[in-house]
Amino acid sequence: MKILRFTFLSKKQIIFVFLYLLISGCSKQKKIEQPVAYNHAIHVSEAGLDCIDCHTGVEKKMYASLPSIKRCKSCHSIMQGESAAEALVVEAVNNNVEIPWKPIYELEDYVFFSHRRHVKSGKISCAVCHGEVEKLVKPPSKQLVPISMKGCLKCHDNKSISNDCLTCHV
Amino acid sequence: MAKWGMVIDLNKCTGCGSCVNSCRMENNVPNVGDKAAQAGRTMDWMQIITEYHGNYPNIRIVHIPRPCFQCNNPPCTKVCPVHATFLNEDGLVGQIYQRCIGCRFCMAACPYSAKSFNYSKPDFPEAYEKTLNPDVTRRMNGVVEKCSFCHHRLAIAKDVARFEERDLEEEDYQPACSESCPTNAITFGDLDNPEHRVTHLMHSNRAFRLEEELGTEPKVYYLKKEDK
Ligand code: SF4
Ligand code: SF4
Repeated sequence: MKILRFTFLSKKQIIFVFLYLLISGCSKQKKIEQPVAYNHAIHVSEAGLDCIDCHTGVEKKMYASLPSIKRCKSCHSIMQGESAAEALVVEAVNNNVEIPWKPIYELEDYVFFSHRRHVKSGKISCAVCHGEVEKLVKPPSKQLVPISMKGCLKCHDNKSISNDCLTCHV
Repeated sequence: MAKWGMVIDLNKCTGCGSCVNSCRMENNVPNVGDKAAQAGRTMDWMQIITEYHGNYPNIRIVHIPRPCFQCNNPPCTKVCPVHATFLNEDGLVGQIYQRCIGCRFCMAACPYSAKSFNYSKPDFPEAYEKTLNPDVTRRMNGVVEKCSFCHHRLAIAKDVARFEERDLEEEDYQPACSESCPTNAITFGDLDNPEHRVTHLMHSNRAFRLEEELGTEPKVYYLKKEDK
């Protein structure tokens, strides 16, 4: 009986598939290059900013946001330092064009996730899901804390939040 | 816990199809095309069953809108080998597409033919792409789907209520069909709430449920069509 599709594969093909799965499993997310070499650490330690000062809306909206050029404008209409990265930001501010930041955390469309529910009602700190971004001098190129359903379920379990499938799956 | 349910007044339903179409738009239900439709492979979360009684010109027509009845004792969930369909704590019968292996046991078990199978990858015409609802995932081929009572709207309503630090109110959560019905034939609400009009209607002497004798305990009631 040929129940499994694998029965159609030769031994070599099975080894290949196995290796492919192994390798692709190790490096799930592609590295993402940001348009500007943003330094999180300097903004937090020297400028005294908090995550929500630039990632506005995480407390008020369902969806998170990447900073718009208006946020940058409040400090960077003139050079504050000497870096080449900042020069790019100042130029964008003066030309009033958005910087095309690339999202690193993107959930599948079958997941319902509300930021405000977790940040405001759940009082979960950003680092729980996003890692210690405030220590990074270079922009993150991949998720510091990889997001997985296992992690969601564990946290929901610990906090006695419903683990019903329909809580998150739409 | 709420027990979400629906009362459909057959006196008021004109068979206009508004519920069917709003459902399709809300839930990204694909049109399968002529060929598949002729093979009986249409996808319908909400379907209007039309019954004709009598002979022309004395015909009496009854339109019966049929969503998934979110049965309280659902036969469909009991046969699923992978727990992809289940009765949840809000009384909704969930369907998790990523979990479904497409065996279609549940389709065979549902006495109301409320479930549809994706025989092919849903193909949305280009012009459709921008009108798809981002709150509802698109299904892949090889999985079963059905009316969800628009439970994504419940998730959003709960989120808004929590943000505004209040309890969920009845009208916060309405599925697309009841919202769009021009004659208000569909009333939706918590069947456990004695204050809500859905509970009054449910206890009307015109109320009945389809195939009640099967013991599926549907949470969708109909109000019998009366001859005027
Ligand atoms: S109507 Fe059919 S699909 Fe819906 S819960 Fe009942 S048995 Fe399951
Ligand atoms: S078709 Fe999917 S949901 Fe239905 S019984 Fe099979 S695995 Fe379960």
